[in-house]
Amino acid sequence: MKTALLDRSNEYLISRREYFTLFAAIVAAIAILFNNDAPQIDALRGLAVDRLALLQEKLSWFSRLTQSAEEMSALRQRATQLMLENSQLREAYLENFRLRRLLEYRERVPLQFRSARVLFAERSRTPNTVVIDLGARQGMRVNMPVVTPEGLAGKIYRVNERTSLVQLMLDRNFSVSARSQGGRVLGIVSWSDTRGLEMTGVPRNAVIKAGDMVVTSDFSALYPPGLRIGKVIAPSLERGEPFMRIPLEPAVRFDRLEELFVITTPAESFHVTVTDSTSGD
Amino acid sequence: MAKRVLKYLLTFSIFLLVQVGLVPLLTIYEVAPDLLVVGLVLSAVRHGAVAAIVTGFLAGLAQDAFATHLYGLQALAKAVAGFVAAYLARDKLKFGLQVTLGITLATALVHNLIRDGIYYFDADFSLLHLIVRYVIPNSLYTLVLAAIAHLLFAKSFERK
Repeated sequence: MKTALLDRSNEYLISRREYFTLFAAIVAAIAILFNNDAPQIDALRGLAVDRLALLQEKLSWFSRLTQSAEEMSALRQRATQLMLENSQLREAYLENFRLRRLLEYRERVPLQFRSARVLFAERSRTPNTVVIDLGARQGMRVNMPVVTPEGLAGKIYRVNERTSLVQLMLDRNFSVSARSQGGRVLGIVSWSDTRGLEMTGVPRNAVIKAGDMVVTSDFSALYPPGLRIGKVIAPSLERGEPFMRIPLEPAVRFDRLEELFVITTPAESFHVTVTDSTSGD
Repeated sequence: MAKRVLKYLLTFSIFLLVQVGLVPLLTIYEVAPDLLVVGLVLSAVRHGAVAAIVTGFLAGLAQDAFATHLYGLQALAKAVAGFVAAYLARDKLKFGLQVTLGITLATALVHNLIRDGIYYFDADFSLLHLIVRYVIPNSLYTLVLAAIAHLLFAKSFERK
């Protein structure tokens, strides 16, 4: 019985060998082709991701039945709103001491955002990206900041029709102008494949200690000030180096990205209190 | 057996070298024939689908290494072309000039549609323009090569 079944399956495989060969060749060729970084392949990849997202959207109703996703989404949205408000309030509190005498002081524009679902992650590639279900149709634009309730996650890297690629903070080409929340120590936060998230360019004599929160600075051209980036682990001073290298623990749990929030407020509205901002990113 | 495989590989290596070295000299207004497509038809007629697909894939990869900056493009187009050629030739025993040219034309059209479709995917022109400007002219040029090959080596176009 078993042998007959085996024979029949072997027979089937042999009789259809040209189709299996073709399938294998196509899969291999597409895999090789999609490793190119040519603009044609980027456009094709965008189209494929768009179509896959559409398909996933059509099928997602089933999985959504099992978990009250809408409720979760609303709660996450609220949490993000509160996080952003909290950041702004904390900023306002700290700034109050310094900016009280500045005549140009004006109010900040409240941040607007849209929630997005993470469809796929392309962690092994450069850039380190995830694909979200918002695209040009939903008003997404390149360089829009992307956050979670915990803090800054990345920025929009490429926009397709229905989807977008988010470059995560874990990408080695990502950098953001940052400062410590308490001491106002300025630096650049970036990702190193060997050392992880770190803040560099901090002068040796700067006062910064383990546990300090590092947030986006007022000098960033892309990100609103006060977004949490990470917590200082332990500042390290290397001999002869004029600057400190400060390892950070990311505020965002990148292994659990399911829902992201894209800040849609135009970047020029972020910096109403600092008129002399430079493009640090 | 080993002798046959060696002969087969040698033939395709010659096809590849001629395609890479000489065919660019025959290019007219970006229209060029593809000798390897003719070779794939020959392989499909003589050895069947699996040989044609595998040959198409490997010859395509080799051609990619020489020609395009999109590695894998020719491999994809030629693997599919090998299958198409074998599919069209599967029930035929005699391969006269008309049958050979018919199979070559269909194979070349599919091959060029895939290759040029991906190569010009982000170009600012329509599918119709792509077909009229690139796919059909390239296929017809390949057909001329196939006709010459058939006239010179008619015996090669026979099922083994």
